[in-house]
Amino acid sequence: MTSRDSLVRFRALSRAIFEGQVDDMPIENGKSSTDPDLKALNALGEKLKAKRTLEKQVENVEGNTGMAVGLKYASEFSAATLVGAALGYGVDHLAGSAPWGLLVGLFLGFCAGVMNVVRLAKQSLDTEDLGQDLPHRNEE
Amino acid sequence: MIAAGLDPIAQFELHKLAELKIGKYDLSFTNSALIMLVTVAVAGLWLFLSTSKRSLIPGRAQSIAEISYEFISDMIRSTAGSDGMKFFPFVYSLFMFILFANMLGMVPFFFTSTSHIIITFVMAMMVMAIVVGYGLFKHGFKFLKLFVPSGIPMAILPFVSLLEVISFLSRPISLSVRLWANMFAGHILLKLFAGFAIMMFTSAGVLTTIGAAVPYALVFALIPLEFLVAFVQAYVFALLTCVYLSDALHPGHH
Repeated sequence: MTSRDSLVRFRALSRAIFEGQVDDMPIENGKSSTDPDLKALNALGEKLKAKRTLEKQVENVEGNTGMAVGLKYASEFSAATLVGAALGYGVDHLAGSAPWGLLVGLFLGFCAGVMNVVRLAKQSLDTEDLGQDLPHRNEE
Repeated sequence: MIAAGLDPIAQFELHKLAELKIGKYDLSFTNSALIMLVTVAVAGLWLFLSTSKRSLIPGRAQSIAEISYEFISDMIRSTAGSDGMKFFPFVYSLFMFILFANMLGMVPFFFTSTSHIIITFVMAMMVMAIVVGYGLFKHGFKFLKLFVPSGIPMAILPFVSLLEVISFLSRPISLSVRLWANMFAGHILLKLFAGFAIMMFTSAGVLTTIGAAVPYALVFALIPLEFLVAFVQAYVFALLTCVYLSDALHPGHH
């Protein structure tokens, strides 16, 4: 095996290990794809991929204690509302338009809070285990 | 009436261990600062000792250290992509600090530094400063694409962008509140039920003395839950950090 060949192999192997993807190795010197090393490499890649998806599914059970879920939504919503109100209050302070800035800011903050909550809920729906016969929604 | 020593809030009080005043600022060394120093020391020592052998076939301690590395690196790769690995040192130290601070907080009589919102807020602001700083440095004005979602009609685009800005500004608050509230509420709950158990057990009636078993059983059930929360919240903080960093790395891909 030439040194270049082994370099190509090394690169493919490291890609397989670190990124979990196996690209077809360039076939050089008339070598066919029935190369046993390539097959072993593909098998390794498949195994890694399976392990990675399993890990992803494990990740989705994070923080399913009731309090954690509640605090998640509550903090997302209240934080946006508070920021909106604070921004409005700041505008009032600078422009002397009290109380309109605070009211508008509160309204905008409320909207942003609802947006945050909807986004979060959508996210947790997307990452939920949908069963094996349904395609995973957040797959690209 | 809460008996002395059973006040559920008393555990969060700061005590000055060494006075230090610079100008009008009070920079005294408190029990919170002490426990944070201990946190850093324990986490650092653990990693140092467990990896000092550097054997090819890891022993138990080294395995755990390697698992913690892989855990964070996988998290970064899956959320921020491979180019997110340049933030690995930051995310890893953040995760380790929060994890050890939470776990040390579970030791009886220890102070929980993450149960003070200023600590978690400073960490959240650190994340945001890196996101904004790196995003502007790397992408310049393109970073602002983050606030302009694609596929929105022109008529309501300014409104939606404004909402996105408010939503972005609310991130450090929700990030810090989530960690803080979990630790704070969990520790109050523990102390409260433990306090009930003690008060009922020491009271005069026979029924209440026997009934003390109920809050005691609850404490028994809550402690493993709190350990889980301690880990999960450190994980969530690190995961959200990665998600936000991914915005700095690739603005405009939602």
